[in-house]
Amino acid sequence: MAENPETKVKPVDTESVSVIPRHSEWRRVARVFFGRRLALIGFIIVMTLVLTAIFAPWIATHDPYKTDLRNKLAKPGREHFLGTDATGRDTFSRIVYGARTSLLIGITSVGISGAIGMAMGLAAAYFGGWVFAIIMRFTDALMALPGIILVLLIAGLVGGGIEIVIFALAFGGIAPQCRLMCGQALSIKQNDYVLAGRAMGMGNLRMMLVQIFPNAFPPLLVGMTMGMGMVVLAEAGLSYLGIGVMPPTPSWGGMVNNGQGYLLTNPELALASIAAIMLMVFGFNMAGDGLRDAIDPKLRGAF
Amino acid sequence: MTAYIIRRLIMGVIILLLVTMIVFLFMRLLPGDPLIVYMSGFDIQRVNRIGSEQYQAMLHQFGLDQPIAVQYYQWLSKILQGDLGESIKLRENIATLMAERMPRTAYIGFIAFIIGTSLGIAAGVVCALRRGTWMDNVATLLANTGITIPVFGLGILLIYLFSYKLGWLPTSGWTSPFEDFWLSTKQLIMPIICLSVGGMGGMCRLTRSCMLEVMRQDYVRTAWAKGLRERVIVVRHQLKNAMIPIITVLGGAIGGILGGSVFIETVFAIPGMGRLMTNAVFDQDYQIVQAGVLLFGGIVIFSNLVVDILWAWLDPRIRYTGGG
Repeated sequence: MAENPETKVKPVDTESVSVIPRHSEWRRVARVFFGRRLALIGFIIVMTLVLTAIFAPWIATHDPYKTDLRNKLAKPGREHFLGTDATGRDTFSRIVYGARTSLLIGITSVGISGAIGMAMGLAAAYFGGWVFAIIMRFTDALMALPGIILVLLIAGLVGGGIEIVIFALAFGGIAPQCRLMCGQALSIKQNDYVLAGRAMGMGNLRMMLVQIFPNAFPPLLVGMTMGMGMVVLAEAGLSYLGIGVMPPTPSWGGMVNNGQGYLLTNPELALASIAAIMLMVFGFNMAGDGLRDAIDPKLRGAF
Repeated sequence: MTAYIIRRLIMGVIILLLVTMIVFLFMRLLPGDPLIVYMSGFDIQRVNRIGSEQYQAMLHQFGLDQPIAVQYYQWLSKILQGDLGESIKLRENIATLMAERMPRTAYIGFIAFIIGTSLGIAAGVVCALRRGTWMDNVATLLANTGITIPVFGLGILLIYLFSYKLGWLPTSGWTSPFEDFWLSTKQLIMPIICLSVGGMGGMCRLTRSCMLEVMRQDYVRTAWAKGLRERVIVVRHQLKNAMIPIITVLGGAIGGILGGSVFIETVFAIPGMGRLMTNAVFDQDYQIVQAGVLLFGGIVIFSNLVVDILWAWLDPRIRYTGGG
């Protein structure tokens, strides 16, 4: 009584179904993200700059702080790639170290504003009522001033320096992150799994952190990537105005300010730093665009 | 509709009060002493010689010895009487100062806003209609560059190109258009380009994506099926619907221009409101900062209000659901 081959196959089949790896959302996101040319370019730019910042001492050809008055305002050449500034400091090395300053300020301030903004947005959406009203009016007030002016006020009134710039940028970034999180959390709250969580007797904190936050997070990642671009621009702006990173710490905005006076004779001083700022902002913007497309197909190519 | 406008107006005033309160708190709680600047003019030697009695008298004169809440109340009641106070550093009436500076910023900003929005929207429409062609690629690249380049960086780039290399335009300065229109225009070409480029890039990107979204809608397919002309479909069906999200960012675009004015007025040496604010921040001139915040915050809140009303008027769905 030979068994019918078809019945033999069947159990194997069901087994192989259960063996299929769990569908990974992040893998799909990665595939879409890296499949887009501009996103890939953005990612490569950002990674290159991050590596540049980490390995700055090995990449820089000179000490970015060392002045050399005999070699001041040197033209680009073999000794100095991009020439030297008015006190003989090597422009290329200062740009390399400037990536460190920019990224350090960018990552910490976006991280801080992200953490505070998300916590506030989550609380506003979850509790609703007067908590929602107070937090939303607070963000309304913060967003009533053009972002750069808010940051300028805080940084300027306290006085410059890296910590102050981080503080000011972090404060300025709270409101947008909070809004974004609040919108996300409000729509996620409607889902059945949140109701299920409540039925299981989850506490408020656990509901927020386990049920809502992970589902609201992906779009916020996009917001934070885009935020990096904005923060880098804002930091450069502050340093350019002279209220940001204080000399002699190398910062791209400050270098543009220094180089501005030598446009006629040494244009590379200002132009190289402008190019560096643009490169970093472009990288973050493109990576953010790609991430958005990958995470939410509905928003493909949107703002 | 009237009830809606009134509700938004009241909310706007509350938010404006909140902004000034936050800034007020910040200025009073953070370190830094405007009186030292006022009395010494950055002269450390003199600061040390200032007697504490004189200092106390000064504190009293500007009301800085009062509790913060009282100071805020006093400031607010003066504002309501139309008195913006006197600058600690410049020793001038702030209302006069602002009446002199603001029109310059507004003049440049208005032109930049019109150019930025109209060109940005036009470019976005062209991109969406000619998606994937070289025109789309070039315009998208330019738009991405526009939102990437720092305002001051673009300014320096333009100065380098048009003033130093080509010698076509003056590097900086301000002349009233009523005095010498030609010179004024020549001086303002570069600042206006700088100020409009960021908004233009953002607007182009947004319009492009909104148009692409709208183009996929059923009513557009129906319009094509009815045999309408392309121009009618693009303008009446697509653009009109795509405008709804575009209008919501117009308020933000005005804020962006006010923010950008801080930089262009520094790069091009224009004595406008942005420059006044930056200097006031440098000098810890609380009175000017406070008045500037009121003005800028008021402008942004008011333009957002107009945007909301425009939005509710364009899209009845929002009006009836309350629209947030």
